[in-house]
Amino acid sequence: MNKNILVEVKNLKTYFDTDDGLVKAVDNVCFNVKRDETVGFVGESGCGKSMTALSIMSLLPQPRGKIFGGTINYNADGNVIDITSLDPRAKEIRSIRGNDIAMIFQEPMTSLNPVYTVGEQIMESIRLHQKVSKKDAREKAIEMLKHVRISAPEKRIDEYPHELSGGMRQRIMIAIALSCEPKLLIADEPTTALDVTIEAQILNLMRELQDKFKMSIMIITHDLGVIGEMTDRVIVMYTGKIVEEASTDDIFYNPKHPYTQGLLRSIPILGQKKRLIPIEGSVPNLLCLPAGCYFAPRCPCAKDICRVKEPPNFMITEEHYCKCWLYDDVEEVTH
Amino acid sequence: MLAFITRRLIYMMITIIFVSIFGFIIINLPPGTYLDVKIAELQSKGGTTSVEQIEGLKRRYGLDKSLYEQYWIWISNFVKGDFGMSFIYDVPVRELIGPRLGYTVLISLGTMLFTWLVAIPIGIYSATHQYKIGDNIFTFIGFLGLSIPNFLLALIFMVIGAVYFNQPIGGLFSDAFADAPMSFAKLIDLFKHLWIPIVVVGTAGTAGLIRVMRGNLLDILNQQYIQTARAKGLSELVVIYKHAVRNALHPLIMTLGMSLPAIISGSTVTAIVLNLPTTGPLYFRALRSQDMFLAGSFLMFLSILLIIGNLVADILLAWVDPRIKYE
Repeated sequence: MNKNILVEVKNLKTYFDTDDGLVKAVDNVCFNVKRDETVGFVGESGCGKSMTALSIMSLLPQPRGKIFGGTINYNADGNVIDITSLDPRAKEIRSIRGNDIAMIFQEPMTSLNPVYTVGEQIMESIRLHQKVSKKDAREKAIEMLKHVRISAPEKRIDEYPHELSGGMRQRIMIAIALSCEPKLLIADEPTTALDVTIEAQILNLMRELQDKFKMSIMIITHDLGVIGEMTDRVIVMYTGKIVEEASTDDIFYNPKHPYTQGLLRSIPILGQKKRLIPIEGSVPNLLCLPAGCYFAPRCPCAKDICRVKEPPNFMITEEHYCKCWLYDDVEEVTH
Repeated sequence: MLAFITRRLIYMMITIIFVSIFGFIIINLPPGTYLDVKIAELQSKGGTTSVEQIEGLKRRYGLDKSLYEQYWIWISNFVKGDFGMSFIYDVPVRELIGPRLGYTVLISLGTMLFTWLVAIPIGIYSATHQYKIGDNIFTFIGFLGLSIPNFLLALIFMVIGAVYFNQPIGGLFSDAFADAPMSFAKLIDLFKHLWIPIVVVGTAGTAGLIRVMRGNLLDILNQQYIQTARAKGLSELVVIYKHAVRNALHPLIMTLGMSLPAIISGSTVTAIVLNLPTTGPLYFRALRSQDMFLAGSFLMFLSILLIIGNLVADILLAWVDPRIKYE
């Protein structure tokens, strides 16, 4: 495995066993996360971006969620571990979770346990993964609070979550996540629940800490503004599949997939008085997906083949892939 | 916190005063007094009752005075620890309740301990194994325990115990020990009898508490902070016991506050069926025959316990959950 690649996901299939049938939340997904880069995952609700993240964390909702196939190789400095092969409750994955790969969530208001002080919650993580005394853990926790720019950390450390605002709580979550200096931070809609000024602060903080701690970030969002601000590379997902993958610049200025183009047309641009054009129709039910390309029924450029045969991945350039029949004149790739 | 407790104690005093007034009125509300019962009793024995005799009885029980005066005499003595005379038993209420109270508390606390020790672990197990076979079995048993009336269960236990295991039936002591002074053998005998009322009274409470614990824990396990705890890499055991259970205890603590009065009045029916020397049947009889001071004293004790129970529950809640602040 290329040592520049931190996480390599290959043919990941994460399915949910529901009463109505098997839901393919993540269906045959392949991507890499390189060291120190920021990858954005974008798509509508239910497209599988969160489930991809939870698959990497091995924290799928139990007992329904299960990985049915594929590999998630985590490259721990030359020692490659396939996360899908580990028991989700056993020791091996728990020593990676929170230590090498950390995660922050969408709802800072409910992400912290109300009955423990923020200090206790940061120290818990530190003491779990590092052999340090209580006193040292506390010092480290205070240091982390300083990193996430919380004023008066010596005082704040003994406060309870309900005494802090939403933005502060998300900072605490970041402090917990980074307390063991992870190689990968997964941020699942980290700013969706915050107002825009706080959002900007949190995003800035994440970028700043990424330089300081030297880590990769996987950021999941449906906000293209966040994507534009944060990411090096973007992965666009639709109904459990990756439909386009490209550098952030290419996604914004040279989008190939009709779905990506549709997403971009539906965001407002300051100063322009053009009407927004929404994508017609709605996301299909994952239990009764259409034949061929899942986006075809909503696609303005759908051809006959789109409704019959699922498109493969076409390589537009070295770093730009698109899963769409419109590009069948270029080279086809397996991943 | 201290200010809160002080203020609560003052409110408690006011509440108690009102309870005593209304309680006294309600006890006196049904037509007639204990005296009528007494006279009827004397007449049924064939005796004649002269006006003087009736007047004598009235004076003796203080019934010749107005209701206000009666109340005042009762309540001012109550504060001093003199709870008045029982009409039916013709002894001071204090002497009547005293010896029964020990056994009542023993049974009630035993029941509470049994309930909690059984219900909480099963509730946790049920919630963490939702819809699995174990959860379904416990749910079934739980509903069974909840729906079988206690007195019926008591009868079943007595029959099974007597017929198959040659166990003593009813009461708290075998005949041989009933009047004997306390000894090790008597203690053993007590425990032999004690388990039946504890299990009988405990089953319904246990079943209810299992459902409460299970429902709550399931709710808490879906909270985001549980996912956060898992994302830290904590083991499932730590996630459940450190992060989830503590948050799921609130309603249980609230029931604790409510169940303090049940120490005295609870399990009356079971106590009657099992012939237990507890306070429940006594209270019941006092109410039926308008034994004013006995019933009134019970009512006061129950109210005081309820209020203290709630105060204790509130203090416990603040201790368990830092979000709860009393200012």
